[in-house]
Amino acid sequence: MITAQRKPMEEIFQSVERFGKILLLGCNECVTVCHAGGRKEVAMLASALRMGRLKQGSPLAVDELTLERQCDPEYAEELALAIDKYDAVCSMACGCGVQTIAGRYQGLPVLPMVNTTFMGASERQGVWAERCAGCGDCVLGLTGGICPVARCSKRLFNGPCGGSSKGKCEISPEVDCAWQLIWDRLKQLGQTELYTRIMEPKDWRTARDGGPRRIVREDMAI
Amino acid sequence: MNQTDNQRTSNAVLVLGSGIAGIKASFDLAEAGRQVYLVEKKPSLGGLLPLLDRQFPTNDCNICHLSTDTTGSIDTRNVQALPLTRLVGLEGQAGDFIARVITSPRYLETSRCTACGACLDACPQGAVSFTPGLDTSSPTCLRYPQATPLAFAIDMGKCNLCGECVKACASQAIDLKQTAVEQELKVGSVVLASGAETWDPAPMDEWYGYRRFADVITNLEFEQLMSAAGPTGGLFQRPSDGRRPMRIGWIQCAGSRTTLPGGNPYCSSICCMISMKEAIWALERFDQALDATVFFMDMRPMGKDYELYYQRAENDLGVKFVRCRPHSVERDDATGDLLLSYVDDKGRQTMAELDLVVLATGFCPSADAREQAAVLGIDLDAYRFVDAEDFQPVSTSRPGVYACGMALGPQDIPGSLTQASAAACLAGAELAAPRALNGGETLPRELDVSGQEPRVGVFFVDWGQVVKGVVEADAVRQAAAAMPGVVHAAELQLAYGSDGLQALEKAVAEYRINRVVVAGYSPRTHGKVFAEAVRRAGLNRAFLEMANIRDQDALVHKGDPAAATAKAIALVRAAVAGVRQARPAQVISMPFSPDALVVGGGVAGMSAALALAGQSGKVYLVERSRQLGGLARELARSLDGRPVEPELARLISQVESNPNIQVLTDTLVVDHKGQVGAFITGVQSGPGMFYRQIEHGVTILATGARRYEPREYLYGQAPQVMTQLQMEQLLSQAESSDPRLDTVVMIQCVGSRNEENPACGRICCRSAVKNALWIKQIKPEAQVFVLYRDMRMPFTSEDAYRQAREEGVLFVRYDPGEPPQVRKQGDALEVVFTDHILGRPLSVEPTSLVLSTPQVADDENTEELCGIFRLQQGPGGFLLEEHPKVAPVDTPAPGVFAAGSVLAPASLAEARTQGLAAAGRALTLLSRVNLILDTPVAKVNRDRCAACLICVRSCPYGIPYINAEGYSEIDPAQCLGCGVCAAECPAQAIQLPGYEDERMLSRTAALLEGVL
Amino acid sequence: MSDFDPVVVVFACDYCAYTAADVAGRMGLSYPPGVRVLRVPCAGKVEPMYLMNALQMGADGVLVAGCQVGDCHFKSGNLRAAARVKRVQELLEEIGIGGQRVAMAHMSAGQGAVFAQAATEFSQQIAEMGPNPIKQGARRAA
Repeated sequence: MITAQRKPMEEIFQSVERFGKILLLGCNECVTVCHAGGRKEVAMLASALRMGRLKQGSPLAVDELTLERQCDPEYAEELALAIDKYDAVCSMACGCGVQTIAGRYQGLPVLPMVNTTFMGASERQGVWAERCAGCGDCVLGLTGGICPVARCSKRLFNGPCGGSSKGKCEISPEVDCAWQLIWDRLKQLGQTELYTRIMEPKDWRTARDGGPRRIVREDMAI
Repeated sequence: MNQTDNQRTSNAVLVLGSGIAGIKASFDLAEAGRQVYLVEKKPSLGGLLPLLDRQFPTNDCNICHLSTDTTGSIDTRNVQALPLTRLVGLEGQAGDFIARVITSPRYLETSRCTACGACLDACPQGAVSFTPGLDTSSPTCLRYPQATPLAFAIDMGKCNLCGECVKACASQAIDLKQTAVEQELKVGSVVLASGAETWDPAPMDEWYGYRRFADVITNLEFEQLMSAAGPTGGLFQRPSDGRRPMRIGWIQCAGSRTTLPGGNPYCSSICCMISMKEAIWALERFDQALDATVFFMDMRPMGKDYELYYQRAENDLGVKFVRCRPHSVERDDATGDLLLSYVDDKGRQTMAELDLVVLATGFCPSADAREQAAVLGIDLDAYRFVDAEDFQPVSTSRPGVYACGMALGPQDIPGSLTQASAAACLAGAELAAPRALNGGETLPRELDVSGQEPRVGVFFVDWGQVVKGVVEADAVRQAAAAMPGVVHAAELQLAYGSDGLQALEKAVAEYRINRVVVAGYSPRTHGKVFAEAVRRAGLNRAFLEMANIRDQDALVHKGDPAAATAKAIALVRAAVAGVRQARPAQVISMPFSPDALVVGGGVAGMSAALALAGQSGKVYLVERSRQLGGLARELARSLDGRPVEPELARLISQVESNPNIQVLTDTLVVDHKGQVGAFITGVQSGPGMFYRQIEHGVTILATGARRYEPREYLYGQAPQVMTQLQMEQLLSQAESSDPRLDTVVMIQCVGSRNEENPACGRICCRSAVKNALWIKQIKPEAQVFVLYRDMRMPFTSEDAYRQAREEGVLFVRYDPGEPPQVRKQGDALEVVFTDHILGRPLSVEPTSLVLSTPQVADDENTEELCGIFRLQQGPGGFLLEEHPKVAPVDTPAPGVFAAGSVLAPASLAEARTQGLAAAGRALTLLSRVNLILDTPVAKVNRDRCAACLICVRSCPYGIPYINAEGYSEIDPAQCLGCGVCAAECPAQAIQLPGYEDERMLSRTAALLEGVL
Repeated sequence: MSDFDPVVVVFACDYCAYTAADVAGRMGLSYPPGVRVLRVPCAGKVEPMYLMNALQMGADGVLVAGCQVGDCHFKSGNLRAAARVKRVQELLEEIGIGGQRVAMAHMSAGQGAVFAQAATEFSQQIAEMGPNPIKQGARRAA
């Protein structure tokens, strides 16, 4: 799941400063599940915006809408009839959603209300942590199901650095050393031989370094 | 009592008397599937309660609790009311009685009478005006304006057949040719609830001047003066000159605790509370500067937490208390002042000048008590009250005939109600199997109003003086009528048993109302009653919203009528806005378990278990310790002086040998889930902590209290110091030569009525007198001192108190600020205390020093119990009941009842009564075949659900799950409707009916309309 | 700001605070008439949105009243409510409305006096803070 967090209110107020009527647009997918941009968060931010602006004496009209998924053009199309009423669309979806909406409604400012943070998993209610960096060449099968790209601060591929101490990373005692976790898990699996196998330098072209990526399924893209 | 089942042919009970006890017994029985004949001598139901303007300790008017029961349901719920009827014969035996009753003519047709009052005005026979309570001389006597049935009756003794009333009656209801009707009723048992009468102060006129001075009135007359329904229409004026009295004195024990001719030797038990209530009410209602003084000998606020009420009256509310022996009342003709002379506690003759004297008159048996007892074939005590033993507290001398309420002696409403439920419980045991109830009463089909525009009816219910004195009713009604969707706004009288609920039902039909708002009462107390009325009117129960104008507006903003009126409008507007969005609630039906769980194997728990065992399914009796018996095991004699052990042993053996009771000793309750009708409780038994689950329909908690372990007065440090219980054990074996009985000093209120435990121990005074008499019986020459603060000896225990004084027991009062001093003098003890009359310290060397210690809450255990059963503790750590006045053995958790000292310190008789009462209350549920669930439960909108799991994670009971189709599912039979999942759901996919987001928003908006 | 009578919305749990408010009435206690109660089945049902809405509609303060800590009829609804109140306080601080305009109170069903006191004290606290600032903004905008 993509996780996100609402931007600071000050930044949000600045970004909508020159508008009188906006559409606050939520998404019923990832940002709902991580409590950043579902219906309720939309309602909360709408209320905060109205109050903040009313206090300043320059009321802001805020309409609320939550799409099933902002990152699909068909859902984005749902706005078509009403969009002209607004000075701007303020999206609470991840960056993908914001860009889909912005791409569809080019004449209108489309502003992000959240900072898209990472691809993560829910550890428990109210806690999310980064788990995947989308590198395009998954090695989890070799590392006991723990990703050295997403979870090692230095993205090392052949064991920990000298900063690993008592299972924690040198950047913070809050952060587990990914390689400690990998080692523990491999031991548990009886696969410690995988640890001693030298991994070749990673070809980062499958990741962001190769430029923006696309997936095309010829069988479906008809 | 040796009835076999096939002899129990009748399912009917005869209830004699329709005061609050009789009505409670009737309704418990009716709800338990029994047929009830409710026989009342007088033209209308209600007994004494309607004469009271307010009831302690909540200073609330509880008539509604009486009449919401009586209205609408009295004819339909298995209860046949027979006013103007008396019992003339009772033949047969328990389970198979034939009762002969005669119904006197009313001389008017109640179905036609509109209670217009024209006959009253037309009657020339001394009928001047209607003054309830103060003047019952009118031949057409309507006791209080909202009597049930709401109809006049004519007293032919005073009528001279002039026919004026017949001419005056527009609805031709009067028929002077009506005759008496006699009938035979086949009943299995009888509940006597004929109540008591107020004592008439006329015979003691020499002392109190009740007949000589208009401004000497009784406490009940004072209530009428205060009542909006009373002779002055609620204006507070003294009878002689209409002046507002500023100095009011209450004389306690008027005609009680006296051996003078015309008076009663016993204590009437509740007059102290009545006077305090009246004084507080007068101060609150009229004038804080009012001088309200209570002249008393001993203050006896005996009920649960009544002591706290006394302390509040004295310390916070400005009621003055003068401890004295009131002598007589005279009048200063020059000033019109009343002069009360009394002897203060220093023995000085003193005089008080007063504008109004209120006699705290007590209660005496009904005039026809002996005649009625003869018909019933039961024994009465020396005062003509029904004679009952501590171990059989609601039984009479004739099997199958039970008694409750003031027929047993003066007592408060919770006591009467508890006895009523207990008597109902035992009366039910004499009957054939109850008819099954399952909530499938004949109700009109529910109208489908979906798609209709909301048509809201707003009803202002019982806006008496309490509300109207603060809130401007017309303004609120006009505002309501103009609110969106409102098609009808009208006042409605529900209290006092009028036809209010039927009027509501009629209005719904007449104005095609499809949503109802009731403005007045709290939804907590009256929500159910109105939901049922709405349902009877053909609407879904959920189409009701209530605006709490009384408790949360009128009563709290007395000082600001304008703001209170504005707030009332806002509250009504919020209710209207909410109800406009109401959707029909779904109803689920599932089997109701006939089994019961009783927690606690003391007297209360065993009594409950045994009573239930014959009348329902299986009873599981869970006891923490290894043996049954509880606190009573330590007791040698009950308060009536009878030995405890044989009765207790009998009770235990009855419980243990009953095939329907499974006793689980050495067993703890560890978890509890489900709802009424389908509880599942986990228990652990034995040293191995074997775990099992019990399925049951109802629960009774009777886990008791613990003895206070004194730290005071060298307890545990000197062999002479002991508690009353230890003294009792000593007395069980002592001989007259025992030197420990030579000089006995008893100290009262040890560990009670102090900062740490402000409550009164309730039974310690009676225990002390019981033991003092016992000592005197064993060793007549023994010196016994009782050092006390107030001797609290209710009803006939006052006789024991008098007897103790006559036998030479010395009672010496001490002030809490100057408690007795106890010192060790070598091996001997010295007690120093001040004698108030002599005004000097006295010193005694006791051979025994006995501390009167209370029962205190078993805090740890009760707290755990509250956690498991989701209940709360009240002051002092005792279990909090549903309502201290009207639901004393119910708890806020449906299907969970409580009895015995887990609620408050209790005597053996009280524990037994409460155990039976809790069983009686439980039987009102166990008669049901099906459990009908209509509480709102969370609903998932699958189209919105993102299957995010937050509902699964946040539900306190783990009920939601993500189903195979990938969205959250919540089992409506398990959901308890807290709304946590709805609040957490980020997609607004879960809504709790009644509290949907949009509805909450609308309510908030309506509540705040015009603020911005 | 002594001439200002704040309007306070109380979301009161049916099991404790709503009952306590009834008890306050029956005890003859009083509190400022600007205090208006909405009933909820559990403090855990009170959503942050409810608080925001009430303020947005002109309430000067919002009080959430639930059971004593450890006494929630539904285990932890009161704790959830308290955590949500804290979050709303932070947001209100951020937008310049004032975090102290919302608060949490705990009481048991019999504590009429505690309800009256909490209502009175919170009302006084709001009175000292002054009216909800959106009111003035709304007037300026009009």
